[in-house]
Amino acid sequence: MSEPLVADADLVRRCLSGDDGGFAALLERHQDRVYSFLRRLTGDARDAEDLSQVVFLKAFRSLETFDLARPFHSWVLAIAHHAALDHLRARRTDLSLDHDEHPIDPADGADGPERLAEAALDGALVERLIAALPPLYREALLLRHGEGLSVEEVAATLGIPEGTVKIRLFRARELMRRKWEAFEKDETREAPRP
Amino acid sequence: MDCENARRRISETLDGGRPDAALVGHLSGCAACSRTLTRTRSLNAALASLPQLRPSAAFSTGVLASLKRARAAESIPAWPLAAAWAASSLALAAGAMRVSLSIPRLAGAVAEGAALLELAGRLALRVLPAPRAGAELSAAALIAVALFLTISLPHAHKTRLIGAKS
Ligand SMILES: [Zn+2]
Repeated sequence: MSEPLVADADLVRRCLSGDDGGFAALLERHQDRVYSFLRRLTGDARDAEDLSQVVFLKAFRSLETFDLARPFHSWVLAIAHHAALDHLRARRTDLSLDHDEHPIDPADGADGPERLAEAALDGALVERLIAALPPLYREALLLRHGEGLSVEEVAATLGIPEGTVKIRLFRARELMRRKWEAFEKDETREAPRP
Repeated sequence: MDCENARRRISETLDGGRPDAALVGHLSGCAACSRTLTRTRSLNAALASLPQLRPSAAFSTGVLASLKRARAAESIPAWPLAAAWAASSLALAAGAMRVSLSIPRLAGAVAEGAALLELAGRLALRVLPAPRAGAELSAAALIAVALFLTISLPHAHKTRLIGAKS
């Protein structure tokens, strides 16, 4: 993602030198992506807004620990990741990946490509598909594709090895594709095409 | 290469890995995996083009106001705390003078000073924006010590002190 890195670092310097305009500018620039990430991760608009506020307050008040050589958005998304996980744990959301550990049956996908009509991947369907994933898989996909981070950046943001990110992405993609195919089957059953 | 491995490799190529000959060979002979590749690409693209969502209009003003409040609370001036310190020291001195040095008049004057300082510190803490809990607690503890010592002075001084406060 071609982020205006220098500009973000300059804004941080402005904040650190006591210029409050820097905070407003950083907030304006990053609030939508942080909110979107949290909204899709928690599935709740109000929770996402409360968490976003917590995230930015935490970021702004620990700004002196921010490494100016790092992209600001991945730093603030890392704070968002921790806040979201705390929130989901407090809500007793199942964060385990165990139930998706068993290998995916290869026969599953061999359904005959032409038999199913492809359901259009409109925004609403994608939102449903992503919402149906376990949170940690959802998170990896949101950071990788929603935020356009590289695997390396996702690993740094989540504080896990790149290999773990790749495994999560693989499983997340498999699950999402399967859910899409299952959805199509339902559609075909409910509304048979001539 | 079996299909499970092929799908793993497909996922890696979507993160920048280069498709090797084994994968290319498998894809050319396996319709299911070719389809997996196409569909996963579509999903990735669809995720990338999801619109950014916006928080409510009041969000940014709320964050900036909270930030301002938090920073104001942090920059609480040091003097109420210093006043509380001085008050407790004076009260202690007053107590010592009365008990061990038997100079009650001087002790009374010092105690009056302590009470005034204590009052000033307490008022300042009430008027100022909510200070950090630590500062508030230590100030409150010092004030309590000052008050205790002031109250434990002889009755004559106490009446004078109450008169001075009101
Ligand atoms: Zn295959």
